[in-house]
Amino acid sequence: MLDPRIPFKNRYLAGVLAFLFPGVGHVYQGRYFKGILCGVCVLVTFFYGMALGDWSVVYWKKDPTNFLNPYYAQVFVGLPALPSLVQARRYDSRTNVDQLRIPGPINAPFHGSLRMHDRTADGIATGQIELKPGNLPAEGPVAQGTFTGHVDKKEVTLKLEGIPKLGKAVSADPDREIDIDVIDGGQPPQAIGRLHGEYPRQFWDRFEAPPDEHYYLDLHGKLGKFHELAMTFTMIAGLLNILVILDAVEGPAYGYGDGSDPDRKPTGAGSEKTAVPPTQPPPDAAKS
Amino acid sequence: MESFALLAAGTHASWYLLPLALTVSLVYSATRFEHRPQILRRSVRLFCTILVSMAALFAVLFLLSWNL
Repeated sequence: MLDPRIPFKNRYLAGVLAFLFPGVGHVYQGRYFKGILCGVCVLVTFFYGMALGDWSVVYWKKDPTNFLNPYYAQVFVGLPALPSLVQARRYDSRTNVDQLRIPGPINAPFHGSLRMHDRTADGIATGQIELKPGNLPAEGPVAQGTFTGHVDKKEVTLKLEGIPKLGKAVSADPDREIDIDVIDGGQPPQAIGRLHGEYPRQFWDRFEAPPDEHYYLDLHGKLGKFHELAMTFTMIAGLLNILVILDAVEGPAYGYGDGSDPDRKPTGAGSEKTAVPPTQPPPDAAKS
Repeated sequence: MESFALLAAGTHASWYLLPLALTVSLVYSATRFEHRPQILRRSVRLFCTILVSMAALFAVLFLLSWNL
């Protein structure tokens, strides 16, 4: 039975709004205090959990062997968790595989290693990589550009050209792998080494995307028990929003507490507490 | 963001109970009651109940693991 003192408006619409964005269902109903309180609590818990888990703990990955997929709880946070479904489709897409050409110009920080063909040891390379798509008559589409930075603390500028090898575009890993030849200045240019490393993945290619196996294991190694803790925060946020959705649709379990809340019962003459008549809201209830 | 995760990793996991208990208390009480002072009063009570319960559980486990 709905409490007539609560302005439900269209309560099913309020439920949908509460699902899509925590607290908005209550704001639509004019229950501002509860809307803001629930929205802030749920969203802060959710995003704090995501940050704690290096933004890699919310994703949808179908796993028939695991009936306790955390996403079943996380999804109830609504819009902030729904990109996972799109990212899972992109991640599982046939086109999301290692690439042999660059999608467009790349100008990004780089870290990795350099192996020159005339040396046995790799050098540690950090700096800036600039690549743009090109075309060679013999090889077809290639990438051409430069690496500027340090190799084993020595400042270098290397010419890069050839068919690059890029890791898959969509993944939770914040870095994307790249592998490309280093060439000399001769005509025709000869490959004298190989630059291998990573550059930052675009935000929309990693946000709520499923992790690769190796990145998942790395993350576990780095975060330890905090990975589970981060997962717990995001799951609890989703579960709390179920209560918020139910409150927007059906109202609070005890309403104004008439008769069911010991705090609101009369405690005798002279007491500061007063009973609330069943049909009258408390004087300040309209504000909440 | 990696630095945030590393900073968080340096904190004892038990401290994370406090914000979690606080949000659970507030949202749970908000979905039980409509009257604002009642929500806040019940939240404080639930928050204390959770902390006392967890402390009691910790004490029991601590005693059970004594000299293990």
